[in-house]
Amino acid sequence: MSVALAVCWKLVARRFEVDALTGTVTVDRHSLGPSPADEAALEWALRIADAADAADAADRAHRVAPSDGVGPADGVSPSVSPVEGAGRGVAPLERSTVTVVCVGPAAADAMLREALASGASAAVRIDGLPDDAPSPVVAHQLAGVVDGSHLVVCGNASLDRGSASVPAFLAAELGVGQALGVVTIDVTTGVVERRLDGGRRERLRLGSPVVISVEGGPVRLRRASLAGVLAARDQPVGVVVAASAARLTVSERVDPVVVRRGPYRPRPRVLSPPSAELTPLERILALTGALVDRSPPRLVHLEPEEAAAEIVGQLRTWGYLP
Amino acid sequence: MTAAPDPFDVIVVGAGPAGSAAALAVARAGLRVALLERGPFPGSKNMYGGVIYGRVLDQVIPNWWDEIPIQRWITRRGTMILTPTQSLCLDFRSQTWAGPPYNGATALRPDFDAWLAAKAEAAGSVLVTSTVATDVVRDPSGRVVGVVTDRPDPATGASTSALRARVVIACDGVNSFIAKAAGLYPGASEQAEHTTLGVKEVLRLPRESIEQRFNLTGREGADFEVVGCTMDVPGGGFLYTNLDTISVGVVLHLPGLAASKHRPEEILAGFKAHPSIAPFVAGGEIVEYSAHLIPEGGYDQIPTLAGDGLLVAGDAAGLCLAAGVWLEGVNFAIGSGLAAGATAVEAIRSGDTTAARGLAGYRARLEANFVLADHKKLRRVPEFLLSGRAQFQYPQLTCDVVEDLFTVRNPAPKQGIARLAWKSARRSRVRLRDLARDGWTAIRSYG
Ligand SMILES: Cc1cc2nc3c(=O)[nH]c(=O)nc-3n(C[C@H](O)[C@H](O)[C@H](O)COP(=O)(O)OP(=O)(O)OC[C@H]3O[C@@H](n4cnc5c(N)ncnc54)[C@H](O)[C@@H]3O)c2cc1C
Repeated sequence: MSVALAVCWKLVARRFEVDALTGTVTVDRHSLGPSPADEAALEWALRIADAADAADAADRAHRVAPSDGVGPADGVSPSVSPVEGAGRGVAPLERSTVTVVCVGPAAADAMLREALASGASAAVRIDGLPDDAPSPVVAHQLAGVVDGSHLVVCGNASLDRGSASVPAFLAAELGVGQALGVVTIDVTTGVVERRLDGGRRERLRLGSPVVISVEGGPVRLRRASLAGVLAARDQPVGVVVAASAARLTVSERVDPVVVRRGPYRPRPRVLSPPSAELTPLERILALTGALVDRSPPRLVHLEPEEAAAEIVGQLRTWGYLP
Repeated sequence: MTAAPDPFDVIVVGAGPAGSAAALAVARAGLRVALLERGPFPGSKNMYGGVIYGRVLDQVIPNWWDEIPIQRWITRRGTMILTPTQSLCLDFRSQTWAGPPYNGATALRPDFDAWLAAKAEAAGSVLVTSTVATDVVRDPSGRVVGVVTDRPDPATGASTSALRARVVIACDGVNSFIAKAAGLYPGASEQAEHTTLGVKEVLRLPRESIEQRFNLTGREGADFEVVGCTMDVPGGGFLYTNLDTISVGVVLHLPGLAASKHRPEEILAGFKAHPSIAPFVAGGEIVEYSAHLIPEGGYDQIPTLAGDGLLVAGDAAGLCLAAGVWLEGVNFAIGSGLAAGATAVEAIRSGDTTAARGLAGYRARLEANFVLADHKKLRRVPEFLLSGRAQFQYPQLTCDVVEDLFTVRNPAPKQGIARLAWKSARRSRVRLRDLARDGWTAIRSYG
């Protein structure tokens, strides 16, 4: 089954200066564009759409010639989809769609055309909100456009104010599940990994519809082809006036299921600075702990299996393992 | 490679001043033109000293001064000679330059280049940014019929794709990859011989400090060109005022720099520390540090300007004018870009884009206007300016003569200038024969 994906982008200044004295922020107007996390959101959405369409095509091939040996490998369900529920049933001909939505001024159109050039199927800009509109208001407007999507992918946080709250408000507004701070997505199984507080991570299986927010680091937006760039110049960007954003059809909420939660990993220890009265050498000694009495390192000679058990036991003592 | 029919008549590589001017000329003539720029926006990758002479725009953008994004209009021009302990400055000021049509202006390249590229776009050019032209595409006869870009081709899965057109105009700046790929450049060592490295710092200062230090008001600006400030490396220095920053830099002859023990940043630091320069730059916070090559060979080093299906303009064609009191590249780039655009249009309309016929008019156009006329007149200057005499002996000699002239040595009586000059010439080991020959070169070039 083809999937309908929505990606939320915000226009931000990617280069700016902060006056150390007054706190005044001066933005470089040439640097306007999406945050890295927003770009990653589009890349994930395109990968998910590609995977869903590939699964769809494989499914259809399988149905036409189930035993010719050309179809998907044994054991791989032809209907696996990134979003549970998507990809099942008779394969229709239509392709998955990725719609990029932005609450922003007309200056955002150039950025939205970059999204179209990279492979987004449509772009919609919601006009008429002030730059500093609060997250719930932005989320409400976005919800009017992305409502009905199987999956909404947002950047984790924008580069400018970056409160990381719009995706959560958006999920609440739509009444759907959410997975925030996603680091990686398995586009064939729909299992995502996200960060938790204290350096922990957890794996979630997504339901649909769902809102996720992704980090900027793990993937980079694919490079648009020249043909894509040229075609995007003539593609329209839909403009919706903020006040007229549609009312929502609240669907039944499907929360993500926790597949695995990683152990607590202690943070690095914070060392208090040594007294300024000390000489540089004494300060370095104090910081490194050199020449200080301590429990001596333990040297054990064990067989591999016992050695492994010893290491695991020690890691458990230190709190690195549950 | 993309299979679509050629969407463009002309491809311009590089949205610097030359490229945007070329695209503007082609688009205004009603032809389809793509303007490829490797930076995320025009001007993002570009650096220069800082002064633009806009009169070249008179023909294409009437009253350009009303909209051009400038920092300050130059009303004060200084030409300085430095030795480690002396300085001599010819300091000229004209209020005529403070009003239309003005003379020069300091401008920041991200502003200026983006503005000129927007003019080309408004005329119908298709600007494609973040795209590098990596090679030329040729047909079986060897004629250039397009460029290879670093954008992927989804049809073939290749990491590059081609864009085709009837004429390609290479405006990709100094050390042009496109001109090189087309075989129009000399060998690397010959190229290095005629190339300098510009190194520049932009220093932030309060606007009032700049105005007080340089004796300016409102949008007035100052421009100082300096010789004798580059240690043992032939070159020069410059100091320009922006609105709330100043640009200070040195230009260094590449072979001299390679032979010297000094690094560019050390030479620049030395220039900034000179007693005549330090008070101007004191307390400035460095907001930008950049370096760029300059083609300084002049008329005799200009490469072949056209190949079949290909024209070369601006710095890519070595058209920057570096002639001591004049460092003008942007206006020469615009002038040559406009001529290249007009020639491409003519050639396409005539159905002949060969170098020998359809594109032959390009050089003639440049000879007929200031671009090659100025270069021809000043053809002997680049070599003279980078010579040891112009760089080291004459600055010393001149400063010594002036110092002797102004030093009061009572009870000894004053000496005549001729005698002082003779003494200084002997001290700085200048031979009369060289002096006479260089004087004659100067008269022929600047006279
Ligand atoms: C230190 C220094 C000081 C100078 N001071 C002055 C001055 O005060 N006044 C003055 O008039 N001139 C000055 N110049 C000279 C002036 O900068 C140049 O002559 C002028 O910029 C040339 O314009 P151009 O369009 O030919 O090339 P550039 O300005 O170099 O523009 C080339 C463009 O092509 C793009 N490009 C390059 N390769 C590719 C590719 N393969 N694919 C796509 N795009 C590409 C670049 O990103 C760039 O935008 C100075 C130069 C230097 C280095």
